Amino acid sequence: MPLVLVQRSLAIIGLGCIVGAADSWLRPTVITLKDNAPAAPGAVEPGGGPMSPAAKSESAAADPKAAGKPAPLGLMIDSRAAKALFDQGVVFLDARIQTEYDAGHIPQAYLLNSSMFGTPAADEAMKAMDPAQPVVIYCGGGECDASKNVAILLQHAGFKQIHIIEKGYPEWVELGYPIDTPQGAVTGDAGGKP
Amino acid sequence: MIRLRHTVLFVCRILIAALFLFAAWQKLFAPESGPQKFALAINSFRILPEHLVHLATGVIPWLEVLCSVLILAGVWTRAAASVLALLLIGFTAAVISVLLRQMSLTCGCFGNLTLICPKGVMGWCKVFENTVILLPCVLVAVGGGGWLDFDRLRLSNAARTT
Repeated sequence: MPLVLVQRSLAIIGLGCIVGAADSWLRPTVITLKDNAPAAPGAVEPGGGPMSPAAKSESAAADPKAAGKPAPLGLMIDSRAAKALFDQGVVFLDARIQTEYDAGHIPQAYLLNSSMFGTPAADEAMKAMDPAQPVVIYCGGGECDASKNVAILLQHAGFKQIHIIEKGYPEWVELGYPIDTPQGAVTGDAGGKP
Repeated sequence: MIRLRHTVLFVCRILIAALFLFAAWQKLFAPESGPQKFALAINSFRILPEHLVHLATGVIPWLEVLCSVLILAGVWTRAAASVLALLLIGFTAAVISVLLRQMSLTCGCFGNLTLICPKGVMGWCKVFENTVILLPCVLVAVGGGGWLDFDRLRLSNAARTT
């Protein structure tokens, strides 16, 4: 009997592999795993927003022709570039979990993590956003994949200008930028620490 | 006593089949790109290389469907429950690995349904939850399907004719 059990189990696994492979082959969905998948083809320009001297010199060094003009932002941005977008009224998304969001978040940021996609709360947040406009995602920083996961899902939903704050919320707080906490809004130093 | 045993096994069968069919539906057809979300969840664990993530994304949900249908139908019940138990052991090992590496991840295993653990970052509660689900799988894998188990009916018919 144990031999029959093993044979049947292997048969089920084999059939599962065949059906799964056939489904993956036939289904039109393209699964994306690359971190840089949602690259921003229509990369947004900070447009006169405050940009750090370091960032300016980096972009000028990378592309001398662009010297004097603000460099287009890529997928991964730092908190200073994010603050410039924040000042322009760009939509921010918090990809962390509810409790972390409740403990403190960037003002007007929507809570939207990958496990929320398809829920009424996520639908509401999506309705408030224009896929043609830039969007900034942040999470807890470090190895947190939450922002990248949300970025990929947004890319599938048609969003083109996606940016992720590389070091996430901790860097934003460290720089003294405004946050909303249960105790009330913390305005912080608008210019950030030097 | 045998009646009770068959009833318990039958209830376990229905429970695990319903649970895994729901889980498979979430991975395959949930709104807002089910397979994509599942692939990202597997990838976030940082255990499998990319090509195996793609393979697991395609195979795991269909294995769950196949096993659930077989368990519901009472055909190859023990083997199907064994495969589900193996899958659960694999998931649990992955969760333990994530917890030991102190990674902050959400599971999304059953979509927005929460069984025992609260929504949010995975913790040791997820290991407990998986163990609770593993229990009926092991019961069916060891004891068979109970009432309306065609494997058992076929065996008893064969014994009667001989």
